[in-house]
Amino acid sequence: MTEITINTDVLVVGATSIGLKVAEEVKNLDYNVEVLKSPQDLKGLKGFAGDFTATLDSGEKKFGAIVTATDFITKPLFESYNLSPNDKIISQSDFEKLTESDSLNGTKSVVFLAGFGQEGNPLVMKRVFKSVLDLCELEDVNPYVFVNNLKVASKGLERLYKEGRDKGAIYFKLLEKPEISEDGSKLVYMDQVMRSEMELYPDLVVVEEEYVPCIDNTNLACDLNIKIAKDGLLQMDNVHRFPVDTARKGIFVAGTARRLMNEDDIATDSKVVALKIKEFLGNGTIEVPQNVAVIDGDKCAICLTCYRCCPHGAIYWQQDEAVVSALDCQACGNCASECPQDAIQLEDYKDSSINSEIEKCFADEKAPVVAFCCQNSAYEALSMASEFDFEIPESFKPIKVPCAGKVDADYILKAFSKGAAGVAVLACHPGNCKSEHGNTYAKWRVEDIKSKLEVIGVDKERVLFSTVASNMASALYGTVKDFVNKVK
Amino acid sequence: MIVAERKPFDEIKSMVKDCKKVFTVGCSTCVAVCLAGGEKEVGILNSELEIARNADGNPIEIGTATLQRQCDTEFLLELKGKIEDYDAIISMACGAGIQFLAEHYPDIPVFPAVDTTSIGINKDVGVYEERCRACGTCVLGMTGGICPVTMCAKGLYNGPCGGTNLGSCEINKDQACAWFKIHERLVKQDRLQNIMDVTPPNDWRNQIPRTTIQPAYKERCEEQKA
Ligand code: SF4
Ligand code: SF4
Ligand code: SF4
Ligand code: SF4
Repeated sequence: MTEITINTDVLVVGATSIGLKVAEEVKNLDYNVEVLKSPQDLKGLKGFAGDFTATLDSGEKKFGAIVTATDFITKPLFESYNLSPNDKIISQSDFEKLTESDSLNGTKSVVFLAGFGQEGNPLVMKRVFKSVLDLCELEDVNPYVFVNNLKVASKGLERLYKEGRDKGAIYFKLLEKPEISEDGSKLVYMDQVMRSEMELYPDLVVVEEEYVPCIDNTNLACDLNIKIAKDGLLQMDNVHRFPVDTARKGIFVAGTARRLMNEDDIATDSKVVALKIKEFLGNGTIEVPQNVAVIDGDKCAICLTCYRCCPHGAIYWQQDEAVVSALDCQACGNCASECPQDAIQLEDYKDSSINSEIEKCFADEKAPVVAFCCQNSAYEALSMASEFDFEIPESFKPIKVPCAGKVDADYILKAFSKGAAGVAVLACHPGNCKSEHGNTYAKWRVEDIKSKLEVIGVDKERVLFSTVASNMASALYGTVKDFVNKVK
Repeated sequence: MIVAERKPFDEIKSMVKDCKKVFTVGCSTCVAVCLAGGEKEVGILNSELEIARNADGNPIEIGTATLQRQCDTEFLLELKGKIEDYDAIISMACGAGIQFLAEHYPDIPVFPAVDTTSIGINKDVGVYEERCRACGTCVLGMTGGICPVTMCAKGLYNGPCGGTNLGSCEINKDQACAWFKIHERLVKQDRLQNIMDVTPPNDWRNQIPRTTIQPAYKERCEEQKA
C-alpha cells in the first residue's frame, strides 16, 4: 500500500450564499479556503484530485479540492403576462430595490403577479410574501396578489402568508392570468367567487421572476471537465452518487449549483459538502488505491481514446503515453474496453481473468447464455433474485463486471466463438450509470456487435442489451427467463 | 505514414518576411518518422531562419514546440497561451495538421514549412516511396497487393495498357509497369483468374472532403448530434 501526500487547500468557486457557507464550514475543519467571487475568476484548471492547479488572476495556485458554488440568476417574466416593463410595470427585484430605498411614496395599490408565468414555487412566493409585509408597514397601501397555485411548502412560509393577509393584503387565486393594459393602469380578471369579470386600477404592477441556473455553469463545467445537466445545472441525476459529488474525485457541487434551495437547505448542504471534503482530504495523506486502471505505456499509441472516454476525468498524457491518475480512477473499465491497443487493464478485472470467467461458463454447459452483469445494478438484482428463490435457469451464467461499459466487444465475440447460445449485457437504466455513460457505450457496442453478427450469419437476436435497477429482481428474472427461452 | 519533405528555405523565408516573431510547430508522428518535421527539423529550420535574418540585419524572434500530433485537438490546445503574441506560426506537420492548426488559431497566419507528398513507406533512412492514394475502395486483394491507382501511371483498373514495355512503363523506362508486376505476382500465387474479368471503375466522385466514422461509432455520432 503506497501513501501519498495531497494538497488540502480548498477552492470555492462562487461567493454566493452557499459558497460563503461552505467556506465557513470548511474553515472550521481547519483547511485553508479561497473563495472566488465568480466562475469567471477561474481561468483554467489542470491536474487531479488532491493536486489541482487553478489559474487565477493572481497566478497559478494549488488546491486539493474544488467546490462549485454558483447561484441562480433571476429573470423577470414580463412576456408571460404579455407585458413590457415601464414605470408602472416592474420586476420583483426592482420592487425590492424600491422598498429598500423607501421610494414607494404615493403608491396606493400594488399588484403582484405570480404563478402564471411558471409553476408556482416557494422561493418566488416567499419574496412576494415579504414584499407584501413590507408594504403593510406603509400607510394607506393596498397590496393585491394574483396567484395561480400558492406554493408554501417551505419552513415558515405559511406563517408569512397569513401574516400578510391578517395585515390586509388581498389574494386572488385565479385559473387564468389577469389581463393588464399596456401601461399597467388597468387590470381585468375573472373572479372565481363572484363568477364575474372584475376590474382593478393599480398604481404599480410587480411581475414574478423565474430562477435560471448561472450562465457561467457551462464554461465552468468545461473547465472542470464535469458534465452539465440539460437544465444547465452542475449535477446529473445519479442514484449511485452522493448528491454533492461529481463524476470527478475532489470536485464537489454545492447547493444552488445543483438545484434551487432555500436558506435552510443551503445551511444543511454546506455541512454535507464540508463533510465530504473532510472525508476526501483527511489529514492530507491518502492511500493510493490498488484496483485501478493501469496503462501499458509500451502498447499505448497515445490515440487519446481513453482520455476522451473516461467518465471520471482520470486520464492524462505524458510524453508519448497515456497515464491514469490512480486517485481519480474509479475502476469502471470504460477506458479498457475502448482502447484500440488493449493497452489498459483493470487490476480486478483483467482481460485474462474475464476470459477465464467466460471459459468457466462452458464447464458444465455446452451452449450457455453468458451474461455480463454490471455490479451496480444487474449483479445486485441477480443476487436479490436468487435470495427470493426465483429459479434462474441453469444455463444462465452471470459474469460480474464493474460497469457495463467494461464489456469489451471482444468478450461478446469470444463467448460466441466458444459456442454460447446467447450473450446478454445487463446495465443500469439510461441516465443512471455510476460512470455517466458506461451503459450507453455498452448499448452502442452491442448494436455494433449485432450488425457484425448479422453479417457473419449469426442471428443478432442472440445478443441482448437490457437495463435494470439493482432492486428489480423480479423484472430481471423475467428478462433472463425470456431471453434464455428464446435462445436455448 | 504520411510523407512530407521540407520546403526550400527561400520559400519559407519569404512567407515570413514581414514577421518579427514566429512560432514553429513540429509534429512528432508521421513527419518526424519521415525526417521532415520532427523536433530536430524544427530546430534546424529555426536556426536557418535566425542566421539568415541576422545576416539581413532584420533579426527574428522564434518560439517553438513540437506536438505529439497536429491532427488532434487535445495536442493543439497545448499551444494555447503560448502562441498568441506571435505574428505567424510555421507548421511542419502534414497538410492535414497544418490546416487543423490554422483552424484552431484562426487569428494567426499559419505557414507550411513542408510539402506533403504521399502516403508511403520507408525504403531506407530518408527514402520514402508512395504506395497509396486513399482511393477509398481498396482493390489490393484483386491485384496481388500492388496498387494500380498509385503505381500505374494511368491508374488503370484493367491493365496493362498497350504501352507496357518488357516490365517498364511507357512513360519512363525506369518506372516499373504496375500491371506487369501485378500479373507476375498473381501468376506466382496462381491467382491470375483474379484479373480475367473486367473490374468496374472506382467511384471517383468520392474525391470530396471525406468524413470517416468507424462503424462502431456511427450510432453514437448520430445520437450525439440529436
Ligand atoms: S486508448 Fe489505449 S492506445 Fe489510446 S491513448 Fe489510451 S492507452 Fe493509449
Ligand atoms: S477505469 Fe474508468 S475511471 Fe479509471 S481510468 Fe478507466 S475509464 Fe477512467
Ligand atoms: S499532423 Fe499529419 S504528420 Fe502529424 S501526426 Fe497528424 S497526420 Fe501525421
Ligand atoms: S487501391 Fe491503392 S489507392 Fe486505393 S486504398 Fe488500395 S492502396 Fe490505396
